[in-house]
Amino acid sequence: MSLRTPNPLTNYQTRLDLQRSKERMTDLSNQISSGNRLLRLSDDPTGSALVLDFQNSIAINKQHIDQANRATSFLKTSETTLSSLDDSLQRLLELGQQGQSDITGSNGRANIANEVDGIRSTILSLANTQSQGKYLFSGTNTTTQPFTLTATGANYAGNGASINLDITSSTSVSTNIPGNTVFFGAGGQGSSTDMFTQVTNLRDALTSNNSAGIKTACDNIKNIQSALNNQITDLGGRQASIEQITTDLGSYNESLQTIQNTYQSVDYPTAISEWYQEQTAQQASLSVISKTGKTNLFDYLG
Amino acid sequence: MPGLNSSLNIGLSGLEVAQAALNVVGHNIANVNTPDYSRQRAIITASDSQNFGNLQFGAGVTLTNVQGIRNRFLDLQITQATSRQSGAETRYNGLEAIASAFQDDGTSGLNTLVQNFFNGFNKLASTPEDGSARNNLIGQAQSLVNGMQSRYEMLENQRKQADGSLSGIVEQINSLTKQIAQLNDRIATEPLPGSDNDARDQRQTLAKDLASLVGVQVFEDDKGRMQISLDSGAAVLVNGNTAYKMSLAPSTIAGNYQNVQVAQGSGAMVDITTKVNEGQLGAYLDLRDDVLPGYERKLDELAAGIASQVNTIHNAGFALNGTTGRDFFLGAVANGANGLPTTVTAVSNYKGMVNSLKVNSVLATDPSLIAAAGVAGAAGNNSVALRLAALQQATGTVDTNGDGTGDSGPYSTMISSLANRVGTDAQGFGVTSTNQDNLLSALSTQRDRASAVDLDEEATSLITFQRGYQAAARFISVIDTLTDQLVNQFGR
Repeated sequence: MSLRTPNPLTNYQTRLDLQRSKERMTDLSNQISSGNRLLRLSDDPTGSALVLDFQNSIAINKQHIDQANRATSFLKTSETTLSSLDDSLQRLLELGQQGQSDITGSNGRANIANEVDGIRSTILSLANTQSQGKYLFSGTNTTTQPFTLTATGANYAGNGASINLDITSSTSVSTNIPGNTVFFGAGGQGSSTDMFTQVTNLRDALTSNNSAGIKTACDNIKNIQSALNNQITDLGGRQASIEQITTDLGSYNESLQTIQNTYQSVDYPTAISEWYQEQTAQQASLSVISKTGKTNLFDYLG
Repeated sequence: MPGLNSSLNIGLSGLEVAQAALNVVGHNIANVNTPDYSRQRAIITASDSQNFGNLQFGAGVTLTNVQGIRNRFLDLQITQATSRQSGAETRYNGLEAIASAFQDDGTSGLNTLVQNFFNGFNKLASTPEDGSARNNLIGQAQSLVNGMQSRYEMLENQRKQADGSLSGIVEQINSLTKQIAQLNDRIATEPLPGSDNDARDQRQTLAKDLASLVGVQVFEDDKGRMQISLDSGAAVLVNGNTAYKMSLAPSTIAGNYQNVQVAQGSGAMVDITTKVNEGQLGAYLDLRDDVLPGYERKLDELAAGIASQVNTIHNAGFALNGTTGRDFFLGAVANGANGLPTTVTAVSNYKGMVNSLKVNSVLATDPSLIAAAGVAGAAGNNSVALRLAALQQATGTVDTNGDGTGDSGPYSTMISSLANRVGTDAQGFGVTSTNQDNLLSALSTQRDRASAVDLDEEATSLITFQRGYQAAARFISVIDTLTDQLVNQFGR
């Protein structure tokens, strides 16, 4: 049996195949130049949706990392402030030692009292530290100056609330220490753990040459300092745990990115060899078509 | 025995038939590139013989018919495949035009806009007393609203374009059905049945054009007339020599869109808006009334989900100045609770939500009124901002069945599933279009094997009939010599 084959040039299949091969070459070269395997949603709907999901997870992790960094910046500022406070307390204890010594006369104690008074102002300004527009030690009353000095100690205008930030969807971290716990301690305002009261007591005892008073104040300040050190350690601990989470989120994002790339990115060796295959096929069929179209019986008739 | 004059007649019939056959060959060669042309063949038979005594003498040759070589069954299949192919291709192109809106390059996609918006609450949570975090949040909220509205508008525009294409298509359909009806008439009144080949070829071209515009069922009646009805069978377009006119009428339910109708024999209008499956017309109606509104509904649901959830939490929060009870987003003028439409049903769901959505202008003017705090008077309290930021990953935030309670979510899942749906739909139509293309090409190749003009074949016929003509002419000249012998030379 022989089939009629009227005109190879009008052969639909050949035309369609050529068209498709050209289309694939265009797609491949677009993929290669963009580095993106998913040019259209319809290329791989499931892959495209997965890529969106990965992008979303990555973006949310980045949000968490950003939030963790903001939390760290608050904690770091608090820690620095409390370290300065620790230095001030250390100096107060030294001054208290000097004040208790018999060698120091009443004049000397008056001078020491002056320095203690200065340190009290420093402590006040540390207690009213601001960072990014908020008072660090006023709980959630961040726009209110937390501490004001009075004759006997200090008043606290903040509250005892903590400010939490979410650094993962399930982990929340407190980014502040309310001022009353730092400066008034466990006993509360006016007690033996109240920093301002004890510093004021020390100054007054120095002024009045009251050795017993100086010693009591110094002992209290020593306790306050050790409580402060606990809080500094706590702040450091919180930062360390945030850093751990940030590192985890970062490496999690890297692996998510890697998986996303397997869906989204072009595999260059494959894409390029596919492109060459298409090109070869196209050239071959073009050259065959150009030859078959030429011969015709009319060419041989006189 | 026949006389010399009879012999001349035999020679003449040979000349005439050879010339007629050459005409047919010439016609074929001239139409070698005419689309849908079916090659023609001269059907030649020996003339009836004459009796002389008990002998039968042949009386030359007759051309009985000029036959078109066509396969009616293939032609009908090609018409059907054309309908399906053009329907799928039109749908595919319509979806590809909007698909890019649902892709996300990680900087401007819908997902990114939603992420940025909720990340705004994260920033607000870290510095609730800070004006810049609040301004940023308002900006992100505006971008989200704009991003959703521009995507919605893209879908609306695509629907409008589909609707706008209808009038041109209907006009073409009417012109085609009219021409087909006229050709039907020509074919039915042809003197020799089956002889009007060119009318049939022209009609096949018109039928294919018609099929690519509208899904049709086609068959030929006993007189060779093409009967055409819609692919759903709901209305007749061509019956014998009558074409039924298609027209557009403003739709009473579908807003500003138009219904398609056909005037039937009695003059009664039959609405066929939902009854065309394939062809460009079917595809545009499907895109306009079914596919694109489905995506719009998803966007409306997403907008309603975000607005209602954010508003509910935001209402309970406190602004920097301690005031409370404000909506973050506003919806339609006739706002129900939380900025949602007053009535929501499973059918309409949150229709129009995206278009009416806006950021509460009171908050936009004075961002300090954004409620980040859970208690009044604590500028640093961020508990509401935290709850709002956490919405991003919460489930049950989007209501997809109109019962007022969230049943889907998180938002990102809704967006990626919408992208998946658009992609899958486009892919499906792309695959159908490719398959029908393949089928069409196989059918067309098959048709060409039978019906297309082969120049080698025609060249052979040309030589054959040329030789036949030459031989017949030679025969006449021989008879002429004999007659000359008899008339002029006899008896000299």
